[in-house]
Amino acid sequence: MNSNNDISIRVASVLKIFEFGAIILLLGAVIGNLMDIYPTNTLNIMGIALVAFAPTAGVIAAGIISFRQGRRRLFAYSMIILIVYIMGFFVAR
Amino acid sequence: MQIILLVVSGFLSGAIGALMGLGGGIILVPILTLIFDLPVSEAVGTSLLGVVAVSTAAAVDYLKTGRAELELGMTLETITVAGALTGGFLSGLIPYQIIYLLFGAVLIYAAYSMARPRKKDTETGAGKYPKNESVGMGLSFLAGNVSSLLGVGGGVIKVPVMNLIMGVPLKIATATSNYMVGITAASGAVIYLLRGDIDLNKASAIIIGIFAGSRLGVFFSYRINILVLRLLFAAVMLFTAFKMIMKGL
Repeated sequence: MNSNNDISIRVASVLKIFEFGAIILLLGAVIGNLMDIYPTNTLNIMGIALVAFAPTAGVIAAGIISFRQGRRRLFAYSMIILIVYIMGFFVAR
Repeated sequence: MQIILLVVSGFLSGAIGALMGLGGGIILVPILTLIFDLPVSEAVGTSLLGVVAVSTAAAVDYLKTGRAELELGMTLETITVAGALTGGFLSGLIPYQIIYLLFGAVLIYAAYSMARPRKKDTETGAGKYPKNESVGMGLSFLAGNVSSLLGVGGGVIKVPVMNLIMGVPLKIATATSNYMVGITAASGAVIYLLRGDIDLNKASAIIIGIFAGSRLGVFFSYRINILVLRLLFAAVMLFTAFKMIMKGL
């Protein structure tokens, strides 16, 4: 397996963890909301936060794995994306 | 009843978004504003969150099978997010009507290029790619700019740039674009979330539908005929161009 595939598979695994976590929480929220059995706001917030943060987690994972494998170019790209994210966040606020 | 309709809407946009590498915002925003009567800002925020969900669900499969090119995606995304940030600064300085009209015209030309018959190598991946990397990166910067200025998802620009300019096979371009649009949309989605522009109950129902729909989109993406995919994409581009030109006039 070449290192490119290795990084892709690991990033996919990170995304999968976030996806499954979000599915469980959001399903709980939707079913609870449909049956009107308990306040679902906390489940909603947690599930949506997992969805919103998933791509950033993927970029961070790609950065960490590529750094460990000495793939400097990919590591630099990850860092640039994260820096632009942070700049964009402050500009938007 | 409304929750079930929201799940179904999410399912549709997830399936189409994952299949075509668009994210699905182009379907979700009209549905949310016209059928569910949501204010535009709420619809756009919810749609951005939906794009992130489509991207996450589809990328799991596309990255694992190697159909999404992580390095190509990250390279172009670095430039695209920088372009999106610049677009944010430029908004308000450039007359929107001109951008809408220009962008509409470019999209019509790109739709024509996408639909016309061409050599087989860009479809099957027989040729070496990516070609014209510097041109592709320059256009990605513009794509980020336009995406931020006009509030459109990047997929409708990223896929033609990769396929037509850089010679990336269409199915790889759509898969890579799927991974990329999530990164672009995530920053916007977080801002909408923090501003409280998103109804969490509705968003949850839509995202559940999207997760299921994305699986279907990924399933069909391995089986769909390349010509059908190209024509579908050209149709979506023409529809977006029409919307842009109408806004600009």
